[in-house]
Amino acid sequence: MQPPLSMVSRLRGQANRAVMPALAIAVLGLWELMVVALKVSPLVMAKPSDIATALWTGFVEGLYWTHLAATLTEMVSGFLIGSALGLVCGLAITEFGRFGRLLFPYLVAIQSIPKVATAPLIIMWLGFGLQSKIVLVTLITFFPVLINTISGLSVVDRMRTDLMAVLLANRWQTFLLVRLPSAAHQIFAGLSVAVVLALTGSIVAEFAGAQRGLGVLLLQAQANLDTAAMFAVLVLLAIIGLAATMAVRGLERRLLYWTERRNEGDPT
Amino acid sequence: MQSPLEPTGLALDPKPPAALVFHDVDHEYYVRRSATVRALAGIELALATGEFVSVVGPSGCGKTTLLRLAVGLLRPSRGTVSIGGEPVRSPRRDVSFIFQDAVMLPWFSVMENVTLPIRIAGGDMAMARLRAGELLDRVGLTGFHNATPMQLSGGMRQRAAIVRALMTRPRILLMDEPFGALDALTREQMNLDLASIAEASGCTVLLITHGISEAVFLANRVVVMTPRPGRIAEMIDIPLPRPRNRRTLAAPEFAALCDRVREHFQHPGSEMASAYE
Ligand SMILES: Nc1ncnc2c1ncn2[C@@H]1O[C@H](COP(=O)(O)OP(=O)(O)OP(=O)(O)O)[C@@H](O)[C@H]1O
Ligand SMILES: [Mg+2]
Repeated sequence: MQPPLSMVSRLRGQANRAVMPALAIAVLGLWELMVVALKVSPLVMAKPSDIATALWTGFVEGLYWTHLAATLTEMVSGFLIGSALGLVCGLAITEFGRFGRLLFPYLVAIQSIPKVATAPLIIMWLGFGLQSKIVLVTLITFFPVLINTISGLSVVDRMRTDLMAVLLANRWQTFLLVRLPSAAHQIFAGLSVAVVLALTGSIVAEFAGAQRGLGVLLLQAQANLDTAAMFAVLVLLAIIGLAATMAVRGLERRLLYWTERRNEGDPT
Repeated sequence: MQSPLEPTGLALDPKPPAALVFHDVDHEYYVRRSATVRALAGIELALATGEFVSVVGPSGCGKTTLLRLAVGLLRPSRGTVSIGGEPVRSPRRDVSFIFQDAVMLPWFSVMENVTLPIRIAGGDMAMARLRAGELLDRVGLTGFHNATPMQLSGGMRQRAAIVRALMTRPRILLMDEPFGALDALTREQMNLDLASIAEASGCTVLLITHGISEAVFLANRVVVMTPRPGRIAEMIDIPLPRPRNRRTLAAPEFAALCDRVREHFQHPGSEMASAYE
C-alpha cells in the first residue's frame, strides 16, 4: 500500500533537512582543504576555520556588538519608516485618483535612479551618525513599497467591485473589505524587496562615512588586509539578510492566510 | 423604508402591483468615440410581485445588460427601468444580484462571506449569523460554515452565493446564469433547491439561463430574446402547478412547454439555433 502523499513529502522534507547540513559541512571541508593544499595566500582567500575564529573572537571580545547594533538600528528603523511612508503615500495617491495617475510615471523614473548614489550627499548634509543612514534606508525602502502599493491597488477586479456596488458598500468599506486585501500580496512583494535593500542601504551608507556599523568593520578589515575578518562580516550580513527576509515572509504568511501556498511541504 | 431584516409580508397583498418594470428600454454601449454597440432594443417587460420570470436568448443578446440595468449598475440609453414605481438610479438594498460566478472573497470564511451584506448595511451581526447558519444548512452546506471559499466546490460556492443574496430578505432577486458553470446533475439539484427557496421566500425573481428546461421548470413566464440587439421574441406563460418538484419534470405538459421554447432556436440556419441544445 502507498503511504499518504503528505507523509511522503514530510519524509522527503526530513531527508532534505538531514542532507543540507551534510552538504554544507562537505563544502566547507573541501574549501579548507583547497586553501591549505594549493597554498593560497591568506590575502586572497581565508580558510573557513580562520573565518570561524574571527567570528568567535568578534563576539567574545565584544567587538561586534556595537557595530551590529548600529547596522540593525539603521536597517530596521529605516525599513519601518520607509515602508510605512511608502504604504501611506501609495494609498493616498491611488485614492486621490487623477493626481496619482499624473505622478506615477515620475515615481517610476525616480525609482530607477539608484538611491544609494545619494549616500555621500546625505552624509554631507546630516553627518556621520545614525541619522543619515536611517534617512538613506528610508529613501531606498520607500520606493519599492510605494510602487507596489500603487500597482496593487490599481488592479480592479470588476466582479468584486460590482459586488460591493450591489451591496451598497461605501468607499471605505470597499477599500477595507476588497481593495486592500486584493492588493496585499503585491504590497508584500514590495516589502520583501525593501527589506533586502534596507540592509544594502545601511552598509553602503556606512561605507560613505560612519563611526559604527558592519560597513565600518568591513572597511577596517580591508585596511588591515584581514581577509578572514571581512568574510566573517559577510557571514553576519548573510545571516541578517536571511533572517529579515524570513521575518517578512512569515508575517505575510500570517496576515495573508488565504493565499494558496504552492509546493507546500515540498521544497524541491 | 424597510429594514433589511424584517419580513417583507408580500403574501398578504391581495392584488400584487408590478414589482419590476422595463418600459421601452434601449441600451447602447459606447465602445469608442462615436462607435456604439446596441445591446437591447425596445424591451417592454413587467414582473408582477412574487413572479418568477426566466430569460433565455442567444449569447451576446443583452441578457446580462438587462440585469445590470435592473440592479442599477447601468442606466438605460432610452426608456425607464423602475422598481415599485420608482426609476432605478443605483443599487438598492431590497434587490439582490447573483453573479454568473459566485464572487466569494477568499479572505473571508463562508459565514463571513454570506453575512457580508448585513455587515455592510450595519445590521445586527449576531442575528445575521443565526439566519445565515439556518440558510446554509438548508442549501446543504452544513459543516462548511467556517470553511474558506477555496475549500468549496463550484456548486457549493454558488449555493453560498444564493444564501448571501437572500440574507437581506430582498423583494427582488436577479440571477445571471447562476448555474452556468455547473454539471448537469448538480444543476438539476440546484434547480430543485432554487424552486423551493423561491417559493418559500416569495420574492420576485428574474433569472437568466442557458438551460431551456430549467427556465421552464422554475418560471411562471419564460421570455425568449432575439439575437443582438436583444428584443423580446416571445413571452410564454408556464401554467405548471406549484410546488414544483421532481414530478413536474416528468409531466407531459412540462416537455411540451420546453419544446415550445426550443422551437425558437431551431429554425434551420438561424443564428439562434446554434446557441442551444
Ligand atoms: N462593457 C461593454 N462595452 C461594450 N460592449 C459591451 C459591454 N458589455 C457588453 N457589451 C456588448 O453588448 C452585447 C450584450 O452583452 P451581454 O453581456 O448583455 O450579453 P449576454 O446576453 O449576457 O451574453 P452571454 O449569454 O454570452 O452572457 C454584447 O454583444 C457585447 O458585445
Ligand atoms: Mg451574460
